[in-house]
Amino acid sequence: MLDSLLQGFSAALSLDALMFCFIGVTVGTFVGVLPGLGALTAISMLLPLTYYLDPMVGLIMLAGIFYGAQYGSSTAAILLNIPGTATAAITCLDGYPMARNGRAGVALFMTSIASFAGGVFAICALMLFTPALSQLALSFNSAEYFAAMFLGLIAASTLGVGSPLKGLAMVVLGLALAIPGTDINSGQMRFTFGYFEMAEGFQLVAIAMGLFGVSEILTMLIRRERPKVLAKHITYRSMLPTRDDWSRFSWPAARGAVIGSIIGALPGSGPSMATFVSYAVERRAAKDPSRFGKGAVEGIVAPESANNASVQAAFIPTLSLGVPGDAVMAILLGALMIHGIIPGPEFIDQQPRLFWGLVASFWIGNIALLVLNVPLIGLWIRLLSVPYRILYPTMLFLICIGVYSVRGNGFDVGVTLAFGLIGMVMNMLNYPTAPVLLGFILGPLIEEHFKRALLVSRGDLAIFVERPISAGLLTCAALMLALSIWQALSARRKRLARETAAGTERTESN
Amino acid sequence: MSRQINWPELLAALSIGALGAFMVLKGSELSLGSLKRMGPGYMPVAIGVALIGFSAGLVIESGFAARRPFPFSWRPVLAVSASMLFFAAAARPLGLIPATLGVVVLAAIADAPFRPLRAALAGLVIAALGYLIFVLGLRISLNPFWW
Repeated sequence: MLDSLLQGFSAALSLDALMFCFIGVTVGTFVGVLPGLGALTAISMLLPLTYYLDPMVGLIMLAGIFYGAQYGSSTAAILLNIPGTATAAITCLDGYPMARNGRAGVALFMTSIASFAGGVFAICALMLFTPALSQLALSFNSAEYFAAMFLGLIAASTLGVGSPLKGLAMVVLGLALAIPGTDINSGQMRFTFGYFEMAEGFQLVAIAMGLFGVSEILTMLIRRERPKVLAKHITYRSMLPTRDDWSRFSWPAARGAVIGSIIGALPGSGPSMATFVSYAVERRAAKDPSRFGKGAVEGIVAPESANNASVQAAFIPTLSLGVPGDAVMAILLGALMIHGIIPGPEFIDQQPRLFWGLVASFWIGNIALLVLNVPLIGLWIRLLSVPYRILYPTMLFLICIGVYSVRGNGFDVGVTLAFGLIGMVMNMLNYPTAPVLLGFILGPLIEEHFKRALLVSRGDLAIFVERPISAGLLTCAALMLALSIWQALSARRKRLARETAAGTERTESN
Repeated sequence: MSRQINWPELLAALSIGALGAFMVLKGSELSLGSLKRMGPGYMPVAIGVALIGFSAGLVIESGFAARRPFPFSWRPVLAVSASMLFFAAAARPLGLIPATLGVVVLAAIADAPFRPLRAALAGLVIAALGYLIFVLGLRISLNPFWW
């Protein structure tokens, strides 16, 4: 393994790879710092660039955005009490009180170090478990793949916040969007409506940018949400933690890293959930839980360690099985598929340079992020004052040219706009957008494995329950489904009870 | 307890069902095949049926959905749409720089105090940077102007 890793480093240290790794983590920190702009938006916007790049270099850049955003997101949480991206929401709870106590510098320093610690742990886990899991997956056939992807889709749509029914419906909508184009088995065109542009189906870039780029811009403009900026000068001296701070660092960081790695590797549960769980665990583990919410160092260290760990660990199932756990991983998978590479159990053996180069770039990127986020933190704080009226036209231009450049075609820009409008309506009605993309990317793969499994079994559906691994995965999916339905029903009952109680109160007071 | 119809939620649920029905109708024009050997129409029809099912569930759910205030304004929607459609139509015939200028200025209308001069200035800067990065740097085949 050491040998392969060294080879990976020699690939990742090439000028191109190094440059795009740096671009990736810088863009990641940038969108992480700015509230209202997330990793998913940035990755969708830079996806067209990867057409021009070597697949490894493109993947290194996109991955860098994802984990770079985890570093940046704590800055706004601490200074403004607004999470830079959703994954830093928990960091507000104790980060902002720390800033109010005049300890913003310490908080910024500790969260960067914690992110680094979480990242390092998860990269080690990635290096150990990805090859092992691929070995196991070599015995998989289409039935298992179908079951694994099915589980991934169920998990992604039911574990989110809000109605599980909406999540599931959106996954199926994603599957439906994958239908137009040429049928792989028969070569027949379907659902193209006479547009020759539709022969290849909807473009991944157009859907991703529409749902996550244009719709976010529209939603922000309609709500007229302008994060109020409170730029502060942070001196290096104020960043130095006290001895007491250090003593509260190691265990929470370690627990966060372990929790984050496990949650990140599971399908459907991303960095946000990792931060929730690790914060809850810290509160449980603390001798004096009342300190939480008032600026407890543990309360920022553990979630920040966990979110970066979960982001790195999310690559384990993606690269070993080819089953992405969330929308970001699905886009990265899509970026590889654009180059004709489909990750699966043979991926590490067939593409050792790509896999180990990516792993090496994680090390390089995390170290670069430490430099970007500790000595250069002042730069990012100043960046919080870029006004939105400059930012959104620039983003819109980047979206237009990005989509246009893929096929040199204005049709795709129109498709992007359509998905932007659909995404806006979905945001308003609390329909989640991420499952659509997951369904869209997994759709063709799941269809192919489903068909192939049934071809082998001669149309007998029992193949999915006769094979033990497939049966186990499908049981997990069924349990998850049952659990989420039960949760949604009990939440509704509680809400109705509360509303009725509130209603009676109101009538009584009248 | 009287229950009012939650129109936005209901319409969203119904349009999912309509999409499902459309897929079933269009898909059944293709050959369906059998479970053993599926034709190109099998998946569209199956997905369409699933969408109709979810739509029914969502219609029921919409009766219970929490009613939330629904902020909306046409101005950003129209401005952003105009801006993107302009780029789609103008990029090839007019060239990158006029198209970019149009995108930025039209987009700027979306946000309340619209300052045309400032927007045009921002548009020129973004267009110049865009030309440097995308045409000179990444070699996207687009002319800067129409000549």
